[in-house]
Parts: sequence; C-alpha cells; structure tokens
Amino acid sequence: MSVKQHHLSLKFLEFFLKNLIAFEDQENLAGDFAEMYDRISHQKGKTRALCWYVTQVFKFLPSYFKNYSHWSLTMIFNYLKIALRNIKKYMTYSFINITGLAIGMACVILILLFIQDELSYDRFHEKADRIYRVVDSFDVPGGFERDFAFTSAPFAPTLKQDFPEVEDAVRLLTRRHMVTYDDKKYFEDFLFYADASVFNIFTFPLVAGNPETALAASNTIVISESTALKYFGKDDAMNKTLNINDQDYLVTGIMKNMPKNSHFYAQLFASMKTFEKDPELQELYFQTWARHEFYTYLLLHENYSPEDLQAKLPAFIEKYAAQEIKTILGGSLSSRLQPLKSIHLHSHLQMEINPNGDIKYVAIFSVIALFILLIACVNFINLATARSVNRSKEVGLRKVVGASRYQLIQQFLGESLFFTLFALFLALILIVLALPLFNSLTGKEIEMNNLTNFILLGSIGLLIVFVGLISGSYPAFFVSRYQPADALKKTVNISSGKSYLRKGLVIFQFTLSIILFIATAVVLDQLDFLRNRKLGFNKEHVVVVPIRSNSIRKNAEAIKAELRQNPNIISGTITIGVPGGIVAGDAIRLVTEEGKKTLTLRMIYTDHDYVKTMGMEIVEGRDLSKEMSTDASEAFLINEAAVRELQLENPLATQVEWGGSDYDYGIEKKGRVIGVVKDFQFQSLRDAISPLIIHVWSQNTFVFALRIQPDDISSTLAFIENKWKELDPAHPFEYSFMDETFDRLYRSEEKLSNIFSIFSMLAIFIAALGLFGLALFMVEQRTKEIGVRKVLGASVGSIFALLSKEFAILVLLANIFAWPTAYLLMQKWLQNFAYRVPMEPWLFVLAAVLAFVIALVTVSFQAMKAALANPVESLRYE
Amino acid sequence: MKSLTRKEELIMLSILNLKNDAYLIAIVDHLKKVTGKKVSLTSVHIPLSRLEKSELIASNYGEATAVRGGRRKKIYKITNLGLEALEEHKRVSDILWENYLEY
Repeated sequence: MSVKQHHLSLKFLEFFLKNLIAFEDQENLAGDFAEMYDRISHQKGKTRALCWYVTQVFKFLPSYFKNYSHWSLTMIFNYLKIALRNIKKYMTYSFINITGLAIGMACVILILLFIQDELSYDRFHEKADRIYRVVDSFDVPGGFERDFAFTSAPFAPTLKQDFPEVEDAVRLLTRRHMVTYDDKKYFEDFLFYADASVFNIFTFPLVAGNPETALAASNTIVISESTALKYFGKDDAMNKTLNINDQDYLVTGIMKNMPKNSHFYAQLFASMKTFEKDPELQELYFQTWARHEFYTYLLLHENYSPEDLQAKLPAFIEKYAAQEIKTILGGSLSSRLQPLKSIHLHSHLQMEINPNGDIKYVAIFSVIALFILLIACVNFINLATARSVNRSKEVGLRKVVGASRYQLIQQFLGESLFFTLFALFLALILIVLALPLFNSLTGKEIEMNNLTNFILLGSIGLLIVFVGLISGSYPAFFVSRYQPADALKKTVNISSGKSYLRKGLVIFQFTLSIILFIATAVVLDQLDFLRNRKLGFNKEHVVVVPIRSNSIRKNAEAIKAELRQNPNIISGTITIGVPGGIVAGDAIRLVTEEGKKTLTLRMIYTDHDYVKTMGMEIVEGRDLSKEMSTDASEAFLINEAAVRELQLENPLATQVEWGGSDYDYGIEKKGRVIGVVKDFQFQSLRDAISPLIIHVWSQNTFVFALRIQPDDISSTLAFIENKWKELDPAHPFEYSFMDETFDRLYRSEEKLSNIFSIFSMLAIFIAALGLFGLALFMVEQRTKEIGVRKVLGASVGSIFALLSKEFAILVLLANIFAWPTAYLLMQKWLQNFAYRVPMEPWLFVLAAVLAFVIALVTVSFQAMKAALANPVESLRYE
Repeated sequence: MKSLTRKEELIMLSILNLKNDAYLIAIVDHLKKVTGKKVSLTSVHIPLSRLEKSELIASNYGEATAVRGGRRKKIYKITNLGLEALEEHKRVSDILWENYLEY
C-alpha cells in the first residue's frame, strides 16, 4: 500500500468514525485516535495501525445504535404530538384530507380485490398449467359466426389416441334437464355429462367414492355436497338413484362444492357413457365430426409444448374431419388450444359455458381507481402546500434549534404516512360497508377475508408508501428549504411559483373528474341506445315458456287455439328460440341461376306464426301461412342481411335445399324462398345482423312464445300456468319475458355503467372536497383584504366574483384538457359495438356546466361567508 | 449518591494521578502501566463520558499537536462532587478490606 493510499484510507476511516460518535466528542476523540494510530504505526508498522483503527470503528457501533434509537424515538414522539395537534387545530382540512384519501384507498383496495378475484379463476386445479381447451374456428360461406368454445365428440378420444403428448382428455356436454328423486323435482342448470377422466384432469376432490371409477360405468352420477343435501337431506346419498330424462343414475360419488372462481360451474356430473351407449345418440353425436357441442379439455404431458401440438392439428383435422365438414357445412374447420388459465379473461367465443370476464374491464377499473386515488392525493398535496405557510414558523424554529433539512423531510413524510395509515383504517371500514353493494354491482362474491392474501397485503403496503410519499412530497421537500430567519419573520409567502403548482393540480383533478363524467354519460347513452334501438321486432309482452314434452310440440296448433280463447293472448308460436336466446346454425344449399352453393346460415326452426307473434315485418313476398298447405314442407323465409350478403338479385326465385338435423346426407326439405323479413336483431347489438333463414320444422323447437295483451298480465299468466299444468303435469311450470332475456345481453355493459357512475360520482365528490378546502384556505388568507375592500365600498357581489373567478377559470381550463381525451377514449370503447350512439356535443357541454356548477357551489359557500362578514370582524382578525 | 464501579474508580484515580495532563490516551497509558493489561480506547472513553454526564469529572480543551492532526485534547479533572464520591468509595472499601488478613 502506497503512502498516499494509506493516507486516504485513514481519512476515510476517520470520517466514518466521526459519524458514529456524538458531535461534542468528535474533535478530541478523532485527535486521540490519530495520536494512538501514530504511536502504533511507529511501534508495529502502518498496516497493523490501520487494522487497529478498523477494529476501533467497529467497537463504536453498539454505543452508536443505542444513542441513535434513543434520540430518534424521542423525535418520533415529538413529531406524532405535533401531527395530532395539527389535526385537531385544523379539523376541516384534516377531515377533507383523510376522507378523500380514505375513499380513494377504499376504491383502490376494492378494485384490487376485484382484480385478484378475476385473476384467480381456474387456478385451483393442481394441473391447471397443463390443461388446454380445444376450440373451433369455422371458415364457412354465409356469414355464420366463426369461433366456438366447443368442438365435436370424436376430438377428445382421437387426440388422446393419436398424440403421445396428450396425457388425458375429457368432454363436457351441458344440458338443462329435470332431475327427480321421489317427489323432489328440480331443473338443474349446472348439470354436465362428463367422461370419467374429468376427475383426473380437473381438481374436484371427492368426499365419497373413487374418482377413478366414479363415472366409468354408464348410468352413474357424481353430485356436489349441496346437491346431495337438496335431494337426500341428511341421508347418505351414495348408491341412491336419481332420475334424469327417464334414465336412472346411480350416485357413485360426492364431490366438494366447486369454488365459484371457475369458468364453468358444475353441481352434477353424469357419465358420458350413458349417452354414448344409446345407439341413436351414438350415431347422432359420437360418430360425426360435424356436430359441435362438446367442451373438450386436454391434459398435456409435462414435457410437451402446446405450440407443437397445435401445429399438428391441421393435419389431424385434414385426416379425420375435413371431408365430413366440407360435405355437411360447406366449409373448413381449424382448431386451436386455449390455456385453461386464460379462458376466463381472454376467451370470448360463441357458446361459452358461462359469460367470461374481460381483461379490458379489469384494465378500465384499474385506471378509474388510480384516477380517484390521484385526485385524493392531489387534495392532500394542495392543502398541505397551502397550509405550509402556517407551518413555516414551526420549520423556522426547528431549524434554529438545530434540525437538519433531512430531519424535516423525515418529519413531513412521516406525518403524511401517518395520515395515510389513518385513512387506510377508515378505508377498511368503508370497504366492509361497501362490499355488499360492490358484489351486487359486479356479480361477485368477494369477502373481507380475501384480503388476507400475501400479494394483496403487499400491494396495500406499497399503496400506503406510494400515497404517503406522493402526498407528503411537496411540503417535505419545499417547506423544509425555508431559511429559518425568513420563516420566523413571516416574510415567506405563497409565492407565485407554488400557486401555479396548486392551480395545475386543481386543473389536473378536474380534468380527471370531467373525463370520468363524460365516460359515464357516453356509456349510459350507448346502453340506452342499444336498449331502445329499433330491433325489428316487438320485444314487449311476449311470455316464453320452455317446451318440456313432445306432446306439446305435436299438438302445438290445438294448444294455440285453446289458449287464444283467452282474449288476452294474441298469438303463439313454437320455435327454437326467441331473439336474444338460442338460434341454430346449419348448412343449406342454395340453387340459383349460377348453380348450387353450400353455405352455413343462422337458422330458426319454428311454425307458421313466428313472424306474426314477434311483430316482425315482411318487406318482400309473403309470410308463412297455414292456408298454403305446402308452406310447412317447402317454404323458407330469409332476412334482408341474407339477401345482401348472398347477393340475391331476385330472392323470391331462390331455390333452397336443406339436409335436415340428423346429418344423413339426404335432402330433408326442398323448396324456395317465399318472403324476405325485415332485419331484426336476434343477437346482441354488439354484433351486426347476420344472414338468417326461417322455416317450419317442429322437431327442434324448445320454447313456446306467446304474445299477450299489456293489461292484466298477472291473470293471463295464471291462465297460462293452469293450462300448462294440464298439458304437462310432469314438469314444473317455468316462464320468462322476452324483453328481460333480451336485456340480459347487455348485462356486462350495465355493470360497467353502474360502476362508472358510482366511481365518477366519488371522483367528483373528492375533487369538490379539495376545492372546498382550498376555498376555505384562500378566504382565510384574504380575510383582511376582504375587510379593507368592504370598508372602501366593495359590494357583496363584487367580492363574491373576486373569490369565485379564480376557480371558475381553472375548471374551464380543465375542460379543455378533458374533452379531447374523453372523446378519444370513448370512441375507442364504442368501436366494440356494431351499432353505436354518436357522441353528442351537448354531452361535453353538460359535463363542463356540471363541473362548473359544482365548483362554483363549493367555492361560493366560503365566498359568500367572507363577503357577508362584518368588516370589523375581519379587520380585527389576528 | 451513585456508587462507583471498579473501572470508574480506576479512571478517576488515574485522572488524579495525572494531574494536568489527563486526556484519553494518557489515562489509557497510565492504566496499562499500573495494571499491566491491555486497555482499549473505547473501554475508557465510554466510562469517561458517563462520569462527565453525572458531573463527577469535568473537562476542558488543551493544546493541539501536529501528531493529532491539529485537533485539541480534551483534558479531564475531578470535580468536588467526584472527590466526594471517591472518598465515599474509599470509606466503604476500607471497612470491607479491614480484616481481610485474618483468614
């Protein structure tokens, strides 16, 4: 070591040592150490001396820490005392700060809970990482939707047989059937037919029965604990028999109730074998590659990647399915694999088992929560900055007594952290109160103890630090810079620079609030637009009764005649589904002048009275009619979209051939188009109307739709119910109204609009609260000025204008920033819809006026108080 | 009155012995010489600050030397309170020591 290096390290050590010892000892101790070092280096050499010095430094550490903690504790108590005194002294400000922060944090934590719940879907399966769903993508002419969440029955067994990477495969088939035990009859919404492998692939623990063999035999069923309780009460459900569709099923297993955070929810798994064994069904479902109705899940081996398997799928389809699909549907099929864990948030295909969540909404909610939090933080910063003048004396005094800037920063940041913690406490109370409302808005079942999650607690911790630091940063870094002499002389004033910052922050707050407001208005407007758009049919006053027995289907005409005896029932029809419900899709062959063309269209099976009952309009040709005896066997109706899409120049001359529903390749029905029905909205308005064909076919009808008179609905319903009990005594009577079913298509938009409304109200409330605080402060600061003005003859009105003007300008400025942002954001959202409401300019003006009025009302309360005050009072102030 | 520890007693007596040059290193040297054992700076410094805090000793600053990097010495002396404490300490010790030879 060179002399120079030596000297440097000595200097460094000395610096280090000095920091460890109390200030008053620094000089002489450093001297003592230098002397000792000198002596040792003379006796034993420099290196030894240096080593000695290092050990001395370490020896000082314990006493250093003891000292340090003693004094910092003392200071912390002092800071706490001052903070509490400040809260008490400025009650209004503290209230505004803490309430705002508490609401903001409650919003963020609720959203965190929501996101956590959304992300937790399907994670409970032990093998979740290796499970994939096989989904369809059709490419067929005719404008038929392309992507489906299911596939055909042979996929699962054939994939498992052909590919070593597929460890296991399962098919699920959902059916709404009535389940009977003794006198107990229920329609089960959560009944699935499943292969035996369902318990190997998914993690559904059985409390009784063997998971490997439970569904291996035909006519077996596994039910959940709550279902067992429903049918068998306290008796042991094992080996009892449930009846479904005239088949007996032996209960071979009882599973734990499924968690709700699963993309499908099952209460009963009946064995697929039962289905497969039936020779008729065998042919109809299991031997064809073209009947797509089976949700198919694969469990892949650990060492294989899904991409490789997916790459092999086209060849697989070519080998087995392509020919049949070409013949029957007139197009081609491609399949892909969907990871189980991404289904809930990313999959939006046709015929999902349940409507899934949407990653977009997760993102939107997060942004809103962040907005609200920022608005609350801005309140805190603004009021703290404004009040920093009041605290300049304290800062000055602390500095005089020896506080370093660093200590002051610590104090102010600590204070805002303290505020934040207090707000968190209030936020938790708010969450407990708001959780039921939030659950009903989002349709979730979130509980308070979802909070006891490591990641969630961590993020709340981060949240507190973030909010505390952001909110406390301004006073901490700027106020602590005051020169003590200035601060004590009270010459420190709200300089223009600081007031720019404050104004900027107010503008920022109101910009966010106005954006939220406009967004809410647009969402509500669009929803209203969708609900009230001309649908092409009359959705009001149609009662829909599901058909459960074949005799109703066969005697539909007689039943209709009988029902019409009641003058309140106008007409009735049997159909596959009403608009907003099920619509089939099937292949037809069009015969035009150019030749034959196979394509797949949306199809409605019904009787002669569909168009009449639904209140639709025929634009060309004529409606189906009972008077024409051939209509049942050879007439078709198409919609305008079909005319457009298929480019039919003379639609009424078009010949149609249809293969029927059982997929034998013969022609079931041959005829021509007799009429064109005006486009009507049979699906969600998010999608454009696709081509559709309607014809008489009673076999695939599932509902009886009845148009009734708007008055005395309850007695009409009672009449229908009585009639139905005579017609079908075996099944409980169920009904729904068509408008309700139709409106359900927009439930996710409705949820969104509800949440938007509440959050934007909260945002505006918090911003107004902040403005109120600022106005209060400003009036306090200008008490004397107002007094002098009044003495000199200023009117109440002019003082009011003086005080309100400033804030009014800020709010107007905020509009300038908010309008384009809101416009762009909402335009993007509206693009999700095929039919969108135009964004009206008055909506933006309304937002501006509303923000303006809210600001004015908030400020004017203070302004009026100041303007009306007796000048004697205000001049005596201090 | 607070009773003295052995270390404090030794340090205070050293200060008395060293008269006007009782600064940290001198005290350490003196103790080394008397006890014949290693004595570290910290082990003396800490009782010194404690004694000073309880006003049994007082200090003032002496001359600065080149070897000390131009820094002054802190020179300790016993206060009246310190003297009283030492006397009390000696009285108690003497009583206790009186008949130790009889064993």
